[in-house]
Amino acid sequence: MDIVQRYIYAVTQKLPEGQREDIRLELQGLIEDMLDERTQGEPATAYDIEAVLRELGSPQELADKYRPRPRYLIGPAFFEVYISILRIVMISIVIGITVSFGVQALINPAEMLQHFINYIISMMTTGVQGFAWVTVAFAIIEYAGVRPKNKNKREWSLADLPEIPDRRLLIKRSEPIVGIIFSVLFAVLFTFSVELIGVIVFRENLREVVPIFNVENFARYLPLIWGLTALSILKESVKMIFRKWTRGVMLFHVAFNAATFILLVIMFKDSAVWNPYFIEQLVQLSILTPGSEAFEWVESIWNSGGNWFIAIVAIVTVIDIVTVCLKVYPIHKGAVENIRNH
Amino acid sequence: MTDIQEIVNGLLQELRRGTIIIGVLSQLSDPQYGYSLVMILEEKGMFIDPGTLYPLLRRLEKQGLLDSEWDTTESRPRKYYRRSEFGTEVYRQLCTEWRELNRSVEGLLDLN
Repeated sequence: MDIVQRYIYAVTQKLPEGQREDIRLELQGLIEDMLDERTQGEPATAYDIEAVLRELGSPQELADKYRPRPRYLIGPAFFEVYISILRIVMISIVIGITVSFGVQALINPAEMLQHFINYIISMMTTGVQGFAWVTVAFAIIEYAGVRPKNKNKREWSLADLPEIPDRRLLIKRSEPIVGIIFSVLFAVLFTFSVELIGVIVFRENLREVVPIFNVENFARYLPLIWGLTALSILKESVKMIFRKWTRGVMLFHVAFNAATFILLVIMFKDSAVWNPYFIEQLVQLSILTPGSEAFEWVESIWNSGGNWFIAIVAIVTVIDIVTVCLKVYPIHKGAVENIRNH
Repeated sequence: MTDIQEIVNGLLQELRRGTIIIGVLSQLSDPQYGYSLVMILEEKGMFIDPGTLYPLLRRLEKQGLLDSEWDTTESRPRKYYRRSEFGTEVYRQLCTEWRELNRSVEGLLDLN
């Protein structure tokens, strides 16, 4: 009877835990009944058992019949987009890490081997991260039931028919791709090469970088940056699925950009992330001479901390939000009025 | 000519699939366990594979058409199913629909 237990196990292990015991008992009874029917009370031979199990069919098929509906982490509706986004993210990671490796090798060629080992390790860890984040983003999309086509069961009305999208509202495929590449590149840069962001000095035998950020303190914000990157991949994936600016896509886009802005403000307002010796290091490398006009100018900008930076990000964010709203809102409104006028 | 047989078998399977549920509901005014139901249906000319019937019974129970109860008093524990009140109401309506359907299909067949 060992083989019967193995058969039952093969079926039930593929089913939700709560139902396993009940189905196990029921199948056990069924198989015994079928054996009795076959042997008419005689003890069952291995041959009988095999015949009965064959009659029940493959455990996989039987388990499928018990399952109410197929469950997916990422269903067929999104799988294509998932694969293309995954490909884009992976390519961006490779490019980003390779570039950062190239710059490090250029600045400090003596430690080539160490750079190369780091390069390989970063590639592995970041690859896994990238894969995980994209998968999580799509699992969320799948779970939230985002559907390009509305599959609600309620009765449909004429108003539900999607408008034939205005050409101006179509999102070019390149747009989300570029978006993802940039956010991944930034994440890679901030994660592995924050010390390279700064003033790079190349002079005769001198290759130095004066970093803008304080590398150690900056590291505390890395999880935030990864989170933002994941969110941004989510946002671009939504764009790639819908392929056009709907009101929902617009709201999502605006909300995401506003959230990014707030998080960046929190980060750059923290004076600990900036390199406290920035000016001194520039003077040491005789890029700046104390007392000169340039010195005053750089110092005044530097001392106002992240304010400049925040101002620039704020302007970019506002321009982006306004452009998108101006682009989407009038056209949608126009379309609705067109329907009313008919 | 195996082609014709194959197509007929495929179509027949589809036709049968719809009738299984009404057949199962018809026999469950008294409690039955899965295998006894297989035998009863077989006796009356409806062949259903246990691997199809058992999952179907659970699904109908989940939809509220059947009630179930484990009987552990005998040597072999068995799960008995019977039509719920709700299931009986559904069955009654299905019967009416079935007769209707049967009549119209017969009508169609007569024309040709």
